[in-house]
Amino acid sequence: MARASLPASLRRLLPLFGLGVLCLYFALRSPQFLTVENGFNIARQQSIIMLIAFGMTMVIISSGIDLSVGSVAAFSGVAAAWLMLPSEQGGYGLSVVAGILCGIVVGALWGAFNALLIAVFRLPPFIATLGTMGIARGLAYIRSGGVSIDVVDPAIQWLGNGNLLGLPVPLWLIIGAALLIHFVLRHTVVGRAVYAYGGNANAALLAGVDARKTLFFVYIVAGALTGLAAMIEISRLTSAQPNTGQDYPLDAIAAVVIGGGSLLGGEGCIAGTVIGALVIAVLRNGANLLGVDPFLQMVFIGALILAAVALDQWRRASRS
Amino acid sequence: MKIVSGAALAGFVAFGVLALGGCSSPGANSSSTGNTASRDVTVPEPDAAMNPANAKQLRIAVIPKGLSHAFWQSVKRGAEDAGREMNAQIIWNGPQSEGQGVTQQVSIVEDQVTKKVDGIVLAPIDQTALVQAIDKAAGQKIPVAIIDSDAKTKNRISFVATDNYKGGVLAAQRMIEIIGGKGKVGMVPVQANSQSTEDRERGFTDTVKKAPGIKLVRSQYGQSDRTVSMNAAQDMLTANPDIVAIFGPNESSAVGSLSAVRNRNLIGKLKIVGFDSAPVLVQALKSGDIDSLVVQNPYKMGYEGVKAIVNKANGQSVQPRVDTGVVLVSKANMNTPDNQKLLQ
Repeated sequence: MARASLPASLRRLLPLFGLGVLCLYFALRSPQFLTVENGFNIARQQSIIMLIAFGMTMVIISSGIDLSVGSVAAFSGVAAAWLMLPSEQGGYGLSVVAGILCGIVVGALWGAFNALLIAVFRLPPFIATLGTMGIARGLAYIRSGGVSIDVVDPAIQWLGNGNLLGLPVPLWLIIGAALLIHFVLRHTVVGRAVYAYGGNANAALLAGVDARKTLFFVYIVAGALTGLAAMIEISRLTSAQPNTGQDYPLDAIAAVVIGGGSLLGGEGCIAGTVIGALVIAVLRNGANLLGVDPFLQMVFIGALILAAVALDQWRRASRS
Repeated sequence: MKIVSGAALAGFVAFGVLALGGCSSPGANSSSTGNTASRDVTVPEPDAAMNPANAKQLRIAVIPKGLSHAFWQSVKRGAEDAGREMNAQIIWNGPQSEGQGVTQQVSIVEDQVTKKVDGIVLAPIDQTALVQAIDKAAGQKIPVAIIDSDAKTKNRISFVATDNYKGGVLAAQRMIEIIGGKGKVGMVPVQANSQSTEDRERGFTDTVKKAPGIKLVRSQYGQSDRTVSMNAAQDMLTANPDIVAIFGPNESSAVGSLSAVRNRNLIGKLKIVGFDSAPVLVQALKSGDIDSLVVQNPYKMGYEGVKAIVNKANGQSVQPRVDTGVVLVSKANMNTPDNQKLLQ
């Protein structure tokens, strides 16, 4: 059996290997790919999806799904931008720091709402978050009147486009969030409960896992991360767009799945999601640098997701 | 699980390699390709200036709001023709859809800056959201020409677009003429805070108000959606059965108005003046269901946008504002070669 387990462990490293191949290919083809500037660019561009995907990783490990992340991002952005508007324009004139904190809290509250539907009213996560998706999007449109809300204080630009100690601020946020969630999932009781509940809910309940507490934890953290991602977005756009992020749920799910997460639950890790999100980011960035036809880019990314899911199935089949 | 921790470590190593760029320095790269050398030279070599065929080929990124509309395909044709004539390579790249592509459009502009293209022709989806990216390009001495819709920045060498107010005036003048200067007319406005269509609506409204015999009714917003526009037009007709003509200030409002009038069997009794071109509208123009269309010249936007960048690179003067023109096309003049091109 030792012989069988070695390839299995190698297969876990396939996404990383794939990322390496992609990077090598683009580095050979484009002189700008392997530059500091481009590395920073990728970090800034993908930080939004990356943070959302971290939350999605926990949700997927708990055998859930969150379709509402794009709408929650739009709502959090609109809410924060509105609170930061000067009072003569109908806002509350909040400072940038207070506005950002409010945006994160708003995201967390939507997560709590999802958890309420799933853990207390026992709706399947797909349906619960589908409903939230519509409600949050609609409310974002209503609050904004369907148009973007500008953030006038230029201080907002620091979060998404600024640097701290020579590195982009979003890169620090990604690293911090990744380490924190990795630690929580691996080394805390609630983190282990997420894996246990997602792997086999009944067994976990019998073993004393508190399902409600676990689910509230998962969705609130996912919501807060989505709120933070939304703050990076309004920073990069100096405005909140109520129609943003309609493809965020699928991008985040793709990142988790490419990184080895299983939609059946109980499996997945932050490192895998980092790699999955980077694969998508590198593919888009590299294609832009090489001038690949934009329609062809969509085909590549779609094919990549299929390959990743096929790999997941193959791994599963070869284990059983 | 050891493997996973290993993967975590390796992932962050990969991250670090990406972020820090390994051992290659940007300076070494640009000198090895030489593609960007010409950008720093302000005065072109005499040889190259006299013989443009020998000049280095410029790389110009053209970034539309979306990829699928017929409008953007015309922009692309114009840009590519200009590229062929002026020896520039056109890099065409845009977000998949206008509605939700703002973030993606920002990334595309940033990637073109990284690529150190010689110029960017951009149709910004949002007048605020693209400003940081445009300023970043300008900060790296990459000239940006804005087409179609403006952005709130001074860092652009030219603004190439339709005079939308004038387009609205043209539509109103035609409508006053065909209804004999009297009666109630309706308009299906597009959406709040959309600069280009609001200018058209203002031009139309201002002109109609000056005609003493005409009363104007506005429907609900059509939201740039054919079905929503159709419902808005139908509700307006229900409330005002005495309307004799309708103005649809963009493609979807025009198509929606046409559908509403067809559904009520009012073709022939009620005149329609639309804006922009689409196959269904051209067909209706041919059959007489629509009286006329005010059409823009997206081909020229692409062409003039690229030309502005090329002129800037060659040290020639660049016009800060280029009006690409609007034309009123009716059944009578729709077959002229010029108008056929605009109706494509």
